[in-house]
Amino acid sequence: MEDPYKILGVSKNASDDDIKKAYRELAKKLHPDLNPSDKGAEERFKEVSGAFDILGKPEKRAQFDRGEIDASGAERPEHRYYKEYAGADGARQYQSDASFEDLGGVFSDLFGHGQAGRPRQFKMRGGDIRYHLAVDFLDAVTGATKRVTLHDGSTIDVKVPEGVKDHQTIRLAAKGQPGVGGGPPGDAFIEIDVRAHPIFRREADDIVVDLPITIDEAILGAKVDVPTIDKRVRMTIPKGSSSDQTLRLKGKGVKNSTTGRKGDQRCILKIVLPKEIDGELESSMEKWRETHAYNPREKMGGGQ
Amino acid sequence: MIDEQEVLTKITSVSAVQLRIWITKEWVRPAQSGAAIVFGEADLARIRLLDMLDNQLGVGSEAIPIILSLIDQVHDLREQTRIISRAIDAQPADIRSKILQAALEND
Repeated sequence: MEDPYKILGVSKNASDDDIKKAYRELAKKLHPDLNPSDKGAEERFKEVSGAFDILGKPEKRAQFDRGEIDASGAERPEHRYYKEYAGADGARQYQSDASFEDLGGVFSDLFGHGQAGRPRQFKMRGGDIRYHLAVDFLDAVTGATKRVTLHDGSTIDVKVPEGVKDHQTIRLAAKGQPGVGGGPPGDAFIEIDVRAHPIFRREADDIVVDLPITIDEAILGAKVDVPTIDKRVRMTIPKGSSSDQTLRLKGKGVKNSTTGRKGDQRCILKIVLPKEIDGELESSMEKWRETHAYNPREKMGGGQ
Repeated sequence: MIDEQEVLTKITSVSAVQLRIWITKEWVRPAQSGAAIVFGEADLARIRLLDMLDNQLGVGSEAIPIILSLIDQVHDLREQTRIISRAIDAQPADIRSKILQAALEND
């Protein structure tokens, strides 16, 4: 075998990264499965991978540099490439759906869709079908089973996974259009539309609610009952809370389908005044203001 | 036909998780045998090709389905060309030379 450095086109003091890069570039060009009809490429690829077997491993490269092994010492076991199976019966599952009808003439007669006398292996996968499924907010959060009527009138129970997001798509394998010429059926894709909820909103894995509190709860603090997606929980409003302050209920959000971790529920406080301002409240505020006036707008600066 | 475990023993650079992902994406399409999935020679060769593309050449997972689709189309075309070629070869010499003549003129 030739000098492996020469085969990869790198110098003797090339870094390991350079060698890897050179190998990748050559392999992309020469890999037999990317050049199914080029015998020359296959021969060259064999040399290139043999060279990389030596230079790609630092200890082997060092042995080679010291002259302890020669370039022929690293022939890799022969594997048959994919191209040797493709197009044959054993690889029928990988036939493309393309019809080549655009080639016209004898190709179209032989290999076009629905033409008499086309070879049996030219089967086509059925088309995919899309459906929409509206799901209630809480069903989307906890998961549910929903019955869907398919295009052919049959019904199917679709498992809506826990924590499914709005516009997320569920794939039902082989529930699409039937295949042509013995080809496999297509898939059904069900896009989930999550209905809005009057109280809960969803932001990623968190549930967000606006939580109304009274002025006395805001000033003095309180323990209040808060609705969550599974049950009511008791939450402490700290003394001196303002509107738009957020309190977090850990783990009361939506379960993330990838990580399995639950988000939080974020409660955004909204101070709500009593429907009627009675004389007592009014006079006590007037009195309080005389000695404790404050300006929450001072940071807003001047301007028109 | 061999099972999943044998595939992983034969091709050590592919992990069980990776193989599962390839099957889910339908890049590899093993056959069903009862409750198990089994792999043929073509599947094994295709897994080696994916190993090369994904693990060694660093082709991104976005590009792999494009490459596979083009490879599959190339093989379909090659197979069809073979069919036509065999059909032409089976003709008597005078018809073969007429076809050849027509093809050359068209060029």
